[in-house]
Amino acid sequence: MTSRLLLAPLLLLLCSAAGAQSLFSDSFEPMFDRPDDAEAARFLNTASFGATRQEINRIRATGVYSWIHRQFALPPTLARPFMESLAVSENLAGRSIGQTQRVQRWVDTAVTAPDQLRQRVAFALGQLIVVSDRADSLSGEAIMMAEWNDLLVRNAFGNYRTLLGQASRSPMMANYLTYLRNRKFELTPQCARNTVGTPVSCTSSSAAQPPVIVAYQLPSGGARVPDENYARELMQLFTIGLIERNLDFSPILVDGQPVSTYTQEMIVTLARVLTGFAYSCSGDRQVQGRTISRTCAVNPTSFPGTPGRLVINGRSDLVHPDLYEPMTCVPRFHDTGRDRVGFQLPGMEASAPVGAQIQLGAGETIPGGTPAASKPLELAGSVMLTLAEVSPGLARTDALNCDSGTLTTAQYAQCRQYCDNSLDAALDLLFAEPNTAVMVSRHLIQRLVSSNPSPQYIERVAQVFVDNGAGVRGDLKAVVYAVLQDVEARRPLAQGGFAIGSGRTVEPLLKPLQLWRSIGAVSGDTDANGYRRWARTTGPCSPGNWPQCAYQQRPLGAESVFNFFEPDYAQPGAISDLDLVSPEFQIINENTTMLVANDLYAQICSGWGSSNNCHGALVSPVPGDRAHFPAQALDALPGGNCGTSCSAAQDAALIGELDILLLGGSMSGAIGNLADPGAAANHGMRGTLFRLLREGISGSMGQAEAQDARRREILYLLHLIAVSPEFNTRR
Amino acid sequence: MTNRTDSRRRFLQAGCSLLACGGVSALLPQFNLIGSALAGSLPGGYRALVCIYLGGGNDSWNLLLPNSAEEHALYVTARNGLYNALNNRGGLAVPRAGSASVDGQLPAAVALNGGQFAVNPFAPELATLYNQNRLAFVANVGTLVEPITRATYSDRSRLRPPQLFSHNDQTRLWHAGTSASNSQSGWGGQLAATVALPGASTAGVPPVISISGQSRYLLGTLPGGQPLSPLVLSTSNRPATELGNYSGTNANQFHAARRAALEELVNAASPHPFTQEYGDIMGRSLDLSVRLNNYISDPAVGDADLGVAWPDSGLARQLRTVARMIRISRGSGSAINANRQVFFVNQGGYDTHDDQISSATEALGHHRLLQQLSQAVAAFNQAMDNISAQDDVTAFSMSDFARTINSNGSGTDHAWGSVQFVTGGAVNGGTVYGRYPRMSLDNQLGASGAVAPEQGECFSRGQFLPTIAVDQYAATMAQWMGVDTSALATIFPNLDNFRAGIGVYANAAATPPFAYFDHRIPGLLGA
Repeated sequence: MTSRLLLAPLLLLLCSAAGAQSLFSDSFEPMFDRPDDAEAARFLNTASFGATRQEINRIRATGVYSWIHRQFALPPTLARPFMESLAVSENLAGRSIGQTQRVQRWVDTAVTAPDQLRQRVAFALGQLIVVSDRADSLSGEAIMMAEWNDLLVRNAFGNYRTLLGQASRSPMMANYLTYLRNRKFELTPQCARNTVGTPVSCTSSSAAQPPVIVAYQLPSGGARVPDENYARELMQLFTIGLIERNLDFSPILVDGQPVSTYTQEMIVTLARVLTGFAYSCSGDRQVQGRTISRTCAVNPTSFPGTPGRLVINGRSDLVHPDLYEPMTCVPRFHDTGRDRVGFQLPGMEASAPVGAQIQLGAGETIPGGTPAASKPLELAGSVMLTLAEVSPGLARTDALNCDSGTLTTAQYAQCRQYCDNSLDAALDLLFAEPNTAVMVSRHLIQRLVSSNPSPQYIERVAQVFVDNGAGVRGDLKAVVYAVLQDVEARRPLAQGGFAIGSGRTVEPLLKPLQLWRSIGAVSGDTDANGYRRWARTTGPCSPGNWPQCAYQQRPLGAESVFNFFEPDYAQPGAISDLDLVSPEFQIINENTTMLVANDLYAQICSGWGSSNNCHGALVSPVPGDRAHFPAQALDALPGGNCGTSCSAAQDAALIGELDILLLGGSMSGAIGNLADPGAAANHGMRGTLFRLLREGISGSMGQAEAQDARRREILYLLHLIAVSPEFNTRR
Repeated sequence: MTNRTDSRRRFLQAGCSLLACGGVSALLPQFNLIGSALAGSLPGGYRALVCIYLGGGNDSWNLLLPNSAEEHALYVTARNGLYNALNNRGGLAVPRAGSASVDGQLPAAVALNGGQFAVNPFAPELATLYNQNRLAFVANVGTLVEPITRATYSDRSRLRPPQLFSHNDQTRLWHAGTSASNSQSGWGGQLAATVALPGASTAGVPPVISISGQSRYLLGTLPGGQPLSPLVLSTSNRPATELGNYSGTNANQFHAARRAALEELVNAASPHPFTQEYGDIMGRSLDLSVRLNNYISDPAVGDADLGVAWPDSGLARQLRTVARMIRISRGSGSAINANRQVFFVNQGGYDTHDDQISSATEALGHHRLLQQLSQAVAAFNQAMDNISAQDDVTAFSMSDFARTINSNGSGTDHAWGSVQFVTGGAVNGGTVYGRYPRMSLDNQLGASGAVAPEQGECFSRGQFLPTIAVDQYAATMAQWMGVDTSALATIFPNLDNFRAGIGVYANAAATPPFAYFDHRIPGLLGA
């Protein structure tokens, strides 16, 4: 006991001294790199969708370090190309595709794809940078959502800045957070030749009597001010968060109070940076060998229309790539920053204003702007421009007018470049903020390893975000490595990993995925198009609302931009009394625990017995529209193939294997007396399950094949473990 | 680990045999003694609050709108003109009550008694309830730490609520009933913890019930320090989800053996708080679900629809479950025999940045939500009438915030002060409580062309500074539920900040026009 207590602080001390990069390069790596079966499984249950015997053996043979690097090197398994192919084959067959197919494809990937770590990280990133198919604008767009999935998958081991840039230019995000075709605010100036008199055109060029602005007028159709939705969530959720934090996540206090990272004024200004973006227009395109046409204007002064779809056999699921490829800016609608209020974040140099103003000091060549002076009403202290200015101090005559309808192609490209630079400058600034490193690091730790990481753990990972050791900021590969290989993640259960507050609650959706993957379920679908369905839907679940009907989660289908649960939710009672947070408990309650238990029964017993109730043998042929556990997978488990004459040792072996695969060896109690199931030496969860097996879990019930009795016992045992409180906690 | 949640669970299950749960009723007589002692100090017999949460920030300036010619004209200008499907799709304004129909425009608003206000044409049921004096509006209520004006907001001489305009933070403040951002509990849970009989004496049913998942609004701490958290029900006919395939009463021995093992796993104490909590939740559910479903679906208690033709919407289904729960909870002959209950239902989708109005005639976007809300509230009122519970049940709305008055092209962004409604037999309805501001952008006291105090202040997109605090709105409801003055001060620690004539706010000129309310909104609810 004494030695265990001493070890943990010592490790932490050494780690902080060693620095983040060299953490596992020398002394620690050997200690953790060749774990036993249970520790290997425990690692795999954080780094994949479920430990399998094969992967456990691989780690035992070549080590954790090698496993992670092999994962880094695997090519990404993508969804969108598959969905496009499926759209064609299904439409040809007279059927449509939708989110149901996307979700099933996602499940198939999670359970079977080789690039487990990448998919697992992408799932975690999708809960940070949230786009959800629950939005009306996306619910019918399975291919757009599949491409959003792929954007996350491709960037899972990339750079966070790249991810931010691609996300911000993604039509999926623009639809979700409503900045697609976001327009700058404009007022129309009213001019006169003198300070009184009949209004004249403000563009009149009479040198003798230059027009004078006497008033401003709202344009017809009413004032449009830039939509603030994305500006707010980009800062609050995707980058810097609400309050200033130290690298270990503790709030920075001034006079005992937390400090806000931004003001409403900054949101307004950032919203102005985010104006002008709309679907690209790339002309006719080939998709799946078929042409989808699209007509584009040269140097458009209006937003290109919504990209079209190809009608196949009366259905139209195949979409033009412009619908999901990066947006481009239509400069006519991009705010060129004609006010004097800068956009600044705390801690940044006053000399580095961002966004629309970013080039006002140095980039006078492309300031943009129009004679129609405008300023946002909200920004106190901003000064109306004179007619002669397009930017403060910059004469109209010197400037390129990006509102003009007669730009040359070169000028148009300049204007578009200005718009892109504005967005990149804003993203650069947010990315460079120290808070972003903390928020992203903590999120990945919470999703993969621990709900309540120590401040030191967060800081170690955030340091890697700041600098991967080669001077690169935001390298997600290095960050993921740091999250998984931290001493706090890898400290063996026997050496303090059991500490109160360690670990996390399993995201409910991961429960069926882990069962399928770890125990070797297969889909019964055999269609040549490769579409494989997994879920059996029953009770409150239909194919369209699985899995959220039971698990309150759906891949890329959160209720809101705040994800399925909040990172700081603390369940009242013992958890909050201990000052712990428990995000997942926000979707766990009396109702959902039962929904989950019932759905897991439907999945585990799928195909077994005449009514999928586990009361009989596996049906033949196996169900063709969903997954089942094949007899061979169950028979292959240790203690799994002993029919009706299983020994106590075989029962113990079976429980031991399920403990390793499903719980990483963390199952409570012990089986200490094989001869007497009721003995006190058989205690905890292991003891309970052992007694149940010994005393009869299901009987033979007249099975034609004795081994079916054992298979049924295994299925029942799986369900008991799957619904148990211990399976809900990962340590 | 002997923690209190564990002992609570064991206590609840004391009357259950391992295999056949349902013995709790045997314990009821002694609990009834506790109940009557507690109930003696409270007004009335049974009372319930129903919180209808409008998730995402309802544009309530388009639910209740000004209807005098002058004020309506300002409203039209501020909202970028009357919506017109043909030529002003960015406009947000609804035509004044009584206007002739114009091609492309929305139907005219529905006038309320008195003529000063009108209700959105897609919510006529709310207008009817108002005109029957069964519904009241409360104007310009929002999150506040203390009274604040634009001047004191700008110079930071008064505290602002934390994280204005942010969905989750503002939701949390509304749920907490106080602008203390770190609060993990809600005023519904705290008031229930103060005045309601605990679940142990109400057949295991806690006095806080959510039909929309976990809700911070219903979290509280009981006087003994134990947490109070809501029972979560679904909208199914048997609303407590039961565990299948483990029937505790199935004669098959193997069913029974698996059931026994499951109960062992669920009841096992764990040193890990997450594991323990999951077991606690499952234990409560196993204990309660079958029993509660049997109570609620007992043919003797009556038709599951309570004689109401419920509209087809998620909100209506949630309110139907609330009504059914009230029926089996209210009165000494009822299965649950509660004295006080707080319910939570939720209607999402109000974050209308986009496509807020996209049709003049069809109920789309915001109008679809308002229509569902209005119809569901009317059906719920009807259900309460049908079981003669109307005077015992008060339903009210809350929402993250209202929205900007002006348009962002096809929708609105986040704002602050809002309009809410309160309905039920105990409500002195037919009145708009509080001060409905003048609908023009950039109202500011003390500016050139200064507005009168009652016209309200706003920022330049029409984000109104609240003139009633959430605390006051909530305390009015809490007091009706029987929370006394000292307990109100505990649940709503900032409440005294909103009393007229106190401290720095004694100076009327510096005081915005909301401090005329005391701890509660006078007259809104009967005693």
